[in-house]
Amino acid sequence: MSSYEEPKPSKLQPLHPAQEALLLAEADRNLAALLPPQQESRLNRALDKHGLTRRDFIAWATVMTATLGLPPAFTGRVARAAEAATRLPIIWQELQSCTGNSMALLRTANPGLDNIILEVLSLEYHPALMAAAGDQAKAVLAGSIEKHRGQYIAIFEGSVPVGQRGIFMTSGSKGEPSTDLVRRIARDAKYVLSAGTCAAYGGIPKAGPNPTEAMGIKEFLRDNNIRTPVINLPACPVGATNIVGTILELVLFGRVPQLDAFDRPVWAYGTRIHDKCERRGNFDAGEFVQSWADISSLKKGFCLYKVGCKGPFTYNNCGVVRYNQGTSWPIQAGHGCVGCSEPNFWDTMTPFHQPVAARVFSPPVLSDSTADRVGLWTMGAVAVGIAAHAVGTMVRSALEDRKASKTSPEPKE
Amino acid sequence: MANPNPQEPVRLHYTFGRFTRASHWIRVVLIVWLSVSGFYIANPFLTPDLRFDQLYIRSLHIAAGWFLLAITLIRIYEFFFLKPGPKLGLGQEVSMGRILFDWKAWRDQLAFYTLLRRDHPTYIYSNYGPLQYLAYIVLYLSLVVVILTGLILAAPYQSMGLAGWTGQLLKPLEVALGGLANVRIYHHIAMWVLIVFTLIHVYMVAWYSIRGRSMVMEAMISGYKVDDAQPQK
Repeated sequence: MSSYEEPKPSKLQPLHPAQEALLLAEADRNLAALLPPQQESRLNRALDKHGLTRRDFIAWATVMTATLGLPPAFTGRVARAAEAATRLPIIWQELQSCTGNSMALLRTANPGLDNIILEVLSLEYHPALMAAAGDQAKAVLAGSIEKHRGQYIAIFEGSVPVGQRGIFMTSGSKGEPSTDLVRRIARDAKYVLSAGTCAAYGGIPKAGPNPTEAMGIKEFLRDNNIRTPVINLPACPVGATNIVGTILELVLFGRVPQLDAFDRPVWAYGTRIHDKCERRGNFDAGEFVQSWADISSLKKGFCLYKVGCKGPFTYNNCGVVRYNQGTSWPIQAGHGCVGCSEPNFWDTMTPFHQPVAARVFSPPVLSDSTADRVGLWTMGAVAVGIAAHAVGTMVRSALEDRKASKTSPEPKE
Repeated sequence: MANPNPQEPVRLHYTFGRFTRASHWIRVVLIVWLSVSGFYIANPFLTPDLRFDQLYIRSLHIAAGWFLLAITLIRIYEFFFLKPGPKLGLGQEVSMGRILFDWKAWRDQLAFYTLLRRDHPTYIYSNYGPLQYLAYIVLYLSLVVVILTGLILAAPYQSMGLAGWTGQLLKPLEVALGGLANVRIYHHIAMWVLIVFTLIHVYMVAWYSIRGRSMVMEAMISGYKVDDAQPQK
């Protein structure tokens, strides 16, 4: 057993001062265009209403700056960006989903600052929140698209059912299919945010056998040749921090943040659940909760890998920002990660309470148990074949030798 | 024709060089260890009394993977880029590929395997039989799959190291396969191909060594096998 060694300093270097100055200048330019200085903002009024002080707000901005991976000099800009963000027109469209993302963001008893900012965002249209209904609501949508053409952010929640020419989801008295609706909203948007796993990858509606032929927003827009930049914010539900952080980045820099291979912002989805998990030490030590009946290990907070945690396959920052005003998150609460921010998690991560190696459900080819079964049967068949071939060879050789000894003269000694 | 008469003395021929033999046995050890530790990582069962067993086993799995990558790269380099020597062997393996399209070779070779002919067919332009050549192509394809998926899976554990870099390079593959959980499954399936290959490989070598009186099994230790006296077209 080797003794403890000091960890080597990380190779991650702080931002170069010149780079930082460039970024700061960029942020200042964008903010100046959006927010006239010294203007009383809706945000301040909302903060007063909730009994929060300016000091709370700046403290939040400091945390947010660090979460976004920006240098401390950005704290003031992030605070101003939050104020500017409240002027950004946003159209939120509900699609094939459970509305869980909206609910998780809005139905909180003690809203944190992320939630307050979401509340005061200039939501031009949100079918679940607005007072208007029916044709009146559709008129508001059409008006908002017209008024803020090319300027608004479209946030979609839920997947697009394209099967049967879109009849699985229609809205309004004219029965407009969701496919037309998404095309109409996304075409004139400045950015598209896919909030939640359903919007990002199709999520639960897309799970096999996918009767509605649901697909994620990005895939749908690509098929329809609409080139509005899409930012995926998967998770079920996506946390307020990740939505607000992404909007703040869009406001600060006026461009799409750095995205990973699945179009998720790197600052939020750059590392796996597993990499920042509070139970990672238990994983490396081999300290596992063996089953749900293993109460003593559960109480000690051992690693949940063997009862189905999919943290090693899932990129997200749940363990850092947490849910419900930063109170807790699944693994802290004693349940493994189900991998909700990965594509097709309902098919690839089930069963949720066994390791992925035990995957016994569909699709049949892509599971360990199928691979093991096929592999073992193949090995058995090969073994039988080998035995048969070996016996055959022995018989054949014996026959050949007898024939040879009858027909040819005795070998010379 | 390998020596048909067991009573006559045989001529030996130096076939496998020192590096070939060493890398063969290193690969045996690596593949056995990688399979065993891979099964363990998927379903750990040791008690935590052995402190940090999961960490050590995973680390040694990844380390063995790097060795397998190195050896496989060298072998693939040899296959494609080695200059042909005076003897039939390394350096001419790409051109030996035409045995795959030689129907007479297929017929002779399958007749030999199904015991319909006694003599081992030999070819003037190839060291490998057609089925053997195909089997090695499948072996190397599954090695490539297992290594590429392994690099993707190792990347988050060594994000500041070489695996982190290769993981970035292989991101499009990760996306195409649909995330880490699926990458892991393909890693697992490729391992099964390697295991089944190994089983068949060991039997075929032992069988050919005895039936063909060719001493190929001994050749992977000593380097010498029985000379094919008269290669036929």
